[in-house]
Amino acid sequence: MEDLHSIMEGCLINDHKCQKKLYERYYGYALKVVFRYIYRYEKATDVVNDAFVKIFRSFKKFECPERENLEKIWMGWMKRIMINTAIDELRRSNMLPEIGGLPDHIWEVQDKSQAADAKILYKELIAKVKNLPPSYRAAFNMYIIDGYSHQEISEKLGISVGTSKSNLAKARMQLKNFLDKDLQEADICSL
Amino acid sequence: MQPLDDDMEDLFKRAAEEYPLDTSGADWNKVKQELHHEKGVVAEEVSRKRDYRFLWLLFLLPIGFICGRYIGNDKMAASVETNRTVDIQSDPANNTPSLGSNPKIGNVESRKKESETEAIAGNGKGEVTKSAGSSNEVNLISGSKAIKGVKMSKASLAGEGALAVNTALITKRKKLAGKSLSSQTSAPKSINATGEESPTTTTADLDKATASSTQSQVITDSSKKENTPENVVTKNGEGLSTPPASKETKNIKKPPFKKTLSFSIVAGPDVSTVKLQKTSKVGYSLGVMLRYQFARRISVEGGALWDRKNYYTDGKYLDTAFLKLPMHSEVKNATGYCDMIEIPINMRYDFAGTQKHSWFVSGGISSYIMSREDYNVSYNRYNVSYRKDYEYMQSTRDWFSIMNLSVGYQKSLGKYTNISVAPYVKLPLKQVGIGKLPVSSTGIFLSLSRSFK
Repeated sequence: MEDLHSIMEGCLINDHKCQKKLYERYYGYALKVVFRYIYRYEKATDVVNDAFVKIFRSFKKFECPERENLEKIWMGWMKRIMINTAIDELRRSNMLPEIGGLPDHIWEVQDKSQAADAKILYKELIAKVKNLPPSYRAAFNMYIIDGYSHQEISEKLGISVGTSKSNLAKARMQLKNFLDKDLQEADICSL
Repeated sequence: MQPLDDDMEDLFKRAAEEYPLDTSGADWNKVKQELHHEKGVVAEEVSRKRDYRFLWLLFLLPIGFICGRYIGNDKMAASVETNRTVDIQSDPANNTPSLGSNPKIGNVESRKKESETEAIAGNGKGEVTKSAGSSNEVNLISGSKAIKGVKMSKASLAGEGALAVNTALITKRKKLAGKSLSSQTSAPKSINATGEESPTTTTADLDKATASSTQSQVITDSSKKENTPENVVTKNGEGLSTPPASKETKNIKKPPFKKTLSFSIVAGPDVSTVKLQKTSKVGYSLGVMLRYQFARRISVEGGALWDRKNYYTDGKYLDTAFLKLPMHSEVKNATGYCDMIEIPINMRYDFAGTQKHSWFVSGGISSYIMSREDYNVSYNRYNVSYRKDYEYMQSTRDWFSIMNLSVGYQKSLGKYTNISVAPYVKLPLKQVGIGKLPVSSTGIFLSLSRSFK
């Protein structure tokens, strides 16, 4: 695998080969981040592409003081851009909830490994998150998973801190209800 | 409850990292296309702006036209003057009495000029002779063209009996002739009526001659004419040759060139724009320049100017990295000013003019050393407008970042002092200042200079 540092040096001089390598290497990670915010898979892929365009345009702004932590810092920077682009998209659509289920083809083909069960669980959990209203979903993703503070959430979403906290609480409550319901169903099945 | 929440959060965090999403749909071509498209649009915009940038030069065209006209007229006027003199002298009709007893008195001025010029340019020996005879004729015998010029005029004046009337004029002419002669001969002498040599004829001598005679007369008879056509002076003016005189005149206008160093104080208004957007207030430039003229028409100049430039820009041209705005802020526009030291280095070419005045073009490059930059930035964030001031001291040094173009006019106020006026444009070669703005400027430099030869 080519050194990340040399790829980034190529990106700095707009070398398309290096840009392509970087894009392909981190596309999966970026899509997983964006897809938690954006309901539709196709729209999520578009948002990822837009975010990569932004990244390549402003690549000179990326600074990494510690070379040994280059990948961590890079992934953190990239993640923030992905989230910002996704939130911009949500704001553009006025945080309107979307209808319709998630098709099967967007999920990875199941394997027979020991982690298969866990992956099914994770898929279900993310599906639950995606079923939250966009404002709750954004607050939950940003606060619980991506580690933003309520102040930052309020600034990014253009809402008050109180609203952010309220949205998070409601998101938690809904997810808890989903989980409780699943547990009850599992109990009934086991009887 | 809290442990349950914590467990739930951990579970979701792990799920977010490891959920089985199909990520095989990476489409690099879309990204590449988007990148290319944006580059194309940007390049197109830049080239279009560059085209507009050179429209400023159109403002300089009328100046060149006026300049050309002026110089053309000047040359034409000189040519007409020469021709007129020739016509007057060669046209027999002009001898017809028209002003009482002094028919040619109207031509004295034109001849005076010519004779003076020739006298200054003369190199040979010459003598002013009051020839013998009752007629008290005044005759000029010279071995050079310069004195012939004097002879011609004097002869004409004498011939028309104007000598007494124009004593002062003659005296002046005598002095000029005397200067010319004394510089070339050790003792210019005149031959009086008795054939004795005497010092150069003075005004008194001429007055005496005038007083004693009722009519002065030039030697006109063919028997008294000298054989060389250059020396022939007749009442009709036949045989006068003016072309040599005009050659001599040209020589006077071009004295030997001396390398010159001049110091000037420069000031002027400055109007600055960013990408030809609207301008804010008018700024100014003030400073000193040194110019070294190392060839007749070419000189190099440099100096230091203190500039204040006011400008306005849309947000898209402003580099917002220095602003440290909150995320999702969009800069609408910014107004600002900067105080700076400008260091210009220009080449100047004097394309027309004389010693008294000249027209020039100059071009070169300038460096900006920012002393202070002040920006008032207006930006939107989540549809709410904000305005904020930023101030930076000694922020950047932009070496060789500006191209200077100028056309100007310079006029002498004395032997060593000149004033000049020069409209200019300054075009950005690269972006300047902390906001990385492509600032163009235009204005007029007024300068007062002192030469050291």
